[in-house]
This record gives sequence, structure tokens and C-alpha cells, in this order.
Amino acid sequence: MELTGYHSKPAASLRLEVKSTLDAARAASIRVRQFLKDNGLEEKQLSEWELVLVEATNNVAEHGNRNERDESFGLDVVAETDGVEIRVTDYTEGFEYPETVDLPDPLSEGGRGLFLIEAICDSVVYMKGKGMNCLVMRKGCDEEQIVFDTDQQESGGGEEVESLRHQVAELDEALDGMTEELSSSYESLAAIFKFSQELSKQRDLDEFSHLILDHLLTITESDWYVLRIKHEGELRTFSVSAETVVLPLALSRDPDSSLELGAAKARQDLWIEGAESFTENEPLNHFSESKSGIVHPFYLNEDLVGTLSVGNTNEKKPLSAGQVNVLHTFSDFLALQILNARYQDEQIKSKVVSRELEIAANIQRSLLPKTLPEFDGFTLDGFYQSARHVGGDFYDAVITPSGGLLLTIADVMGKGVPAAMFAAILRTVLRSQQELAAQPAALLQRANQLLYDDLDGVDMFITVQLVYVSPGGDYGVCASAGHCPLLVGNPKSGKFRSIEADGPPIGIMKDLQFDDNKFDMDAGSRLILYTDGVTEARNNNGDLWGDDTLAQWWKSAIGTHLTAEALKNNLIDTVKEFVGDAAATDDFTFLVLADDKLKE
Amino acid sequence: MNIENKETVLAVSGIAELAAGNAAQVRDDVRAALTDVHKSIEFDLSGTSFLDSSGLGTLISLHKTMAAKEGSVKLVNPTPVATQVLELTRMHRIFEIVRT
Repeated sequence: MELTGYHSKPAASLRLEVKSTLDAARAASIRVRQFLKDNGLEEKQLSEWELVLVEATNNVAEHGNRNERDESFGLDVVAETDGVEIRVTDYTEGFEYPETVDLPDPLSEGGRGLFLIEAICDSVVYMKGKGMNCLVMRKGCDEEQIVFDTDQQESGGGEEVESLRHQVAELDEALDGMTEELSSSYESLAAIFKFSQELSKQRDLDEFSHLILDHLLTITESDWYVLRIKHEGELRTFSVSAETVVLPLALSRDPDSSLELGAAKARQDLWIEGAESFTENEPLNHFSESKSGIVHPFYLNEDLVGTLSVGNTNEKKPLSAGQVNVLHTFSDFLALQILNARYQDEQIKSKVVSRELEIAANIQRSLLPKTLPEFDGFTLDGFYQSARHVGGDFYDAVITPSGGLLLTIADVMGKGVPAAMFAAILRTVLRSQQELAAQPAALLQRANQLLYDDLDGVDMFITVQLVYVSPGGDYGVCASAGHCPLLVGNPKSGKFRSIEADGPPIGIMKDLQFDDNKFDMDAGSRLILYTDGVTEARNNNGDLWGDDTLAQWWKSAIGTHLTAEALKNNLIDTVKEFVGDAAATDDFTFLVLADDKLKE
Repeated sequence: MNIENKETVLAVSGIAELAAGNAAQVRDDVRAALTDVHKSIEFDLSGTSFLDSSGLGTLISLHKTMAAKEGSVKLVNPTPVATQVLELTRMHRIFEIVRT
């Protein structure tokens, strides 16, 4: 090789014969690095050459060792203070150098070697020969000084030099810009924290996010942004830079149809690269003029919080890593602020909920009869105690127009105001249909017809038990819609009965049939209607009080506690003793009727 | 190289270089340490003085492994040398780069 125009600055050169193995290739690259360092190259250039060399030689090492000659390859390095030329000469079959070297698919695990070499070097030439190939890579060289191809020098090398110098100047400028931008980024981060102090004072979150995002536009050299926050299965627009309506995005929508959903699904940033990034139905289509941009999904504890998209409609300027980092920091910071604000909202909501429960409890209490009716020869008493989450228990007792007694006990499956409302409606329905009181089954059927549509609409249902006692109290008729059994007993005759439900709860099906169960009430009979809160009372060990315990208590208590009130108090005390200080989980409701004639 | 379990994070550190010579080994070792519990792999690249295209291949391969189970690969404090390679190949778009 003849070096021309080389008189003013001496060049150093190195020649290495390298074994075709990865380790030897790596060792050679380190050796060359040291050589270049000794010749005054700076750290950044050293790293670049090291990378270029590794990329150039890995391929040779991997494809070498197929025959005797390719056990090794040659490295020629020529260094001069301003530039370096390295040649890799190998004896493999070689490869077809592509016309243009592009980046492979982002998820491809290989195929970036040549791209890196080209990205770093100023010029790359690959000469493929028979059983011998040569890759020549140059960076920062003056064509006049280091020449490997005399033909090329003759054909207007001067222009090329000018163009290279121009490129170098442009690169320098770009680097300066980048440095400046990064330092401004850090100032911005400091600014965020200043903002956050203001936020804690009074600033409205909306205004704050606009402020911070406008700042982000400057840093990322973008001209629009869309911030969306996940809320109830949608990505809702929280803040937009432009005067436009960006509709909410259902998370169930096809992620391929939306950049934001696509990014959220893939859990990674998506890049906007001109119009082809926008599909026909793209929700961000208002910004489809964008030449560059990024869509960033952000998370808190692995949960999607939202997406932040920025873009540039004026010029193609993909974000640098530094800008992307700032964008990530901004979005993380905003996510925290927004979630904080939402948490405060939720606290207000929970206050609303407790107010709702209070209202429900009031409705519930108003349903209970203030005084129970007098029914000749009998005593009647009831008890209702609500659990923390107001359920829908209630009881009622009315004297029918024919002089009988209609007892009602019900449990609406549901909570809060809706359950209480249904309890109220059911009570009204039953009270308004008293001509059917003597046929409780028909009354239940009517109630179901009237309430089914409303109950079905809110997925609620009601268990109800109706007990009609004939005037004079000779017999009773019981009908039940999925409710607990009716317990009937007579300590005098020793007869006990448990009358089970014979129909499903109302609100389950449109047309329900119930049966009337008639039972005799000889003198001294007692009966108890109760809800499952009684038998499902639990103590601190989690033990149920249970159906059997209730039946045993009933058999023994009715012999000794003669009035309805005495039975009521005894049941309350007995269950209280069992439960101890465990919190009630369900409403606790029952109604006792006792034939007072036993006392005589 | 150190591989540590930090709850749902598999933290990989102490990688002096990630290049053709050790890329496959690193990939296999990390994969072997990976369990269903892990939601992300964090590569501490703060001491990585050399990263080449084979090293990138390893990172991408693990990224795909994690993406298949909706996890991710994060690159923590990459050195300027590593950052340059990531930026040149636009891999900073694929990986979350964390600066602490």
C-alpha cells in the first residue's frame, strides 16, 4: 500500500494475524483499542472502533475455520490523529454485501452488525474475492492522507472530502444540541419538583398537567400531546394540547386499531413514523399529519395507569433516548399526581357510600311496624338488628279484613338503598293485596308477578315467608318463597313442626307457583319466623349457631318462656352469649307468636 | 455476572461486557433463573463497558421471552457506550431504560 500526501503527520500502523475464534477476535479488538489509544484517540472514538471491530470480526470468526486457510484472518490498522482506517482480510467464502444496510425488525435477534459498522464509520467498502475478502472501514480520515484505492482518489476525492467535512460539522452541531437539550431536561426535572410544591398548595390538577405537558413539548421538540388515564375499562382523555375532541377508548377494543391500546397491550413505547403509523380508525387521527412521535403507556405497580402520546407534525424528529427518558419521568410523575387526586375522590365517595347506608338503614327501620297489632288471645313480638352493611330484612304483622293475622318476614338479597327500597315495595305490595291474605301462596305469586321485572333488572331476589293465622287462631297457613323454615311447637302437647320452603325466592322466575301449608294450632301453640341471620350467627371461632341449635333452643324455651316477649328476650340473650363480641355479618330478624291461652 | 431474585424482578448485574463471547451464556443463565414469579428482568448495565450486536440479540431474546408473559426487560443505568449502541440500533424504543 502506498500512502500519498502523508508527509506532515506520521501515521502509525499495526498488523495482526488473528485466530478465527470469538475470543481471539475479542482480544484483538482490545489490542487495537490500546493501539489507537496510544495514538491519541479519545475515549468515545476508542469505544466506537472497538465496537466496529468486534462487529466486523465476529462474523469472520463465526464463519471461519472451514478450511486450512481460514483458521485466521488479518487486521490492518492505520492510525493518524484525525482518522483511522481498519481492514479485515479474511479467507472465508465471504458474503453478499447488501446495497443498503437497514435495521432489521426490532424484535429480530440478529442482523445489526453491519448497521452498527455503517452507522459509526464514515465509509465502508467490502471487496469480495475468490477465497479472500476485505472489509475496509474508515472514520475521520482525510482521503488525501490515507488511500486504499487509487482509482477512487483520482475520481474527485476532493469533493468527497468536502462532503465528509460537512458531515462532521453537522454531527458536531447535533452533539452540541443534544448536550444542551439534556442539560435543559435536568432543569425541567428540577422544575417538576417545584411544580409539585405548588400543586400541593392549590393548583388544579388539570391546569397542572397542562403546564407540565406544555413544558414537555418544548423538551421533546413536539407540537402535540394526548394524555389518557385508565378509568372504568376505558382510556379516558385527560389532557390534550389541541382544540380537539379525542374520544375515550374502550380497553376491550382491538389493540391493532389504536396506537395507544397497542402500546398499552405490548407494554412498550410505540413510535409514530409518518402517516403509515395511522390506521383508518386510529383514534389519534387528528394528529395523522405527524412526521414523528411516540406513544408511551405508563404503569404503577404493574397496573396500567394511562398513555401519554406526543408528536411533531412539522418535521421528522424522532425523540432521543434523553428525551424519551424525560417523557417517562414526566408521565410517572403525573401518574402519581393523578392517582393521588383520584384517591382523594374515592375518600369522598366512601363518605357518600356511608351516607347511603345511613339512608338505607333509616328506610329499613321505617318499615318495621311501630307497634304490633293485638291479636286476641295471643302475644306477638319481633326483633330486628341490622348488620354493618344494611341488608334488606324486615318483618310485618297486620290484622286482615276478615280478622285473621298475616305475619310476614322477608330478606332482600342485596345491600344498601336498593335492597331497602325493594323491602319497602314488597311490604306495600303485600299490604295492598290483603284480600289474598288467607291464601299466602297466591299472595306470594302475585308479589312475584308485580316485582319480578324490577328485581330481575338489578339481579336481586327476595326470600319471603307468609303465615296466615285464622281468626281465633285455630289453624295457620304458611307459604314460603325460599325462606327459612317456620318452626311451630306446642309444649303442652309436645308437638313440633318445621315447615320448609316449597318455592324459590321471588324475583328468580317470572311465573312461580307456591303451595299453602295448612297446620293446626291447638291451644298453647307457638311459632317463630326468622331470617338466616339468626341461624348463621357466628362466634369468634367462626362456628355457626346453626339450625339444629335453634331447633333445640325452641323445644326447650317454649316450655319455660311463655310469652312472645319472654321468648324474644331469651333468644336474643342465648344468641348473644354464643356470638360473644364477634361482629354481626347479617341482619338478625325474627318474629314470635305465642298462644297466651296456655297461661290459663 | 450476578443474578438475584427481587420478588417479581430478576435482577442481573455485574456484566462487564455483553458481547459475542458471552451473549449466549448470559441468555441461557438468565433464562434458567427465570420463573413464573418474575414480571421483569432488570439488567444493570452500569458497569457494562462493552455491548455489541450479539449482546443486543440476547437482550431482545429475553425481551421476547418476557413479552410472551406480559413482562418486560428494563435496562438500568446503561453506560454511555451501551447507550450509544442502544440508540444507534433504536433499541431504546424497545427497552425501558431506567436511570436511577
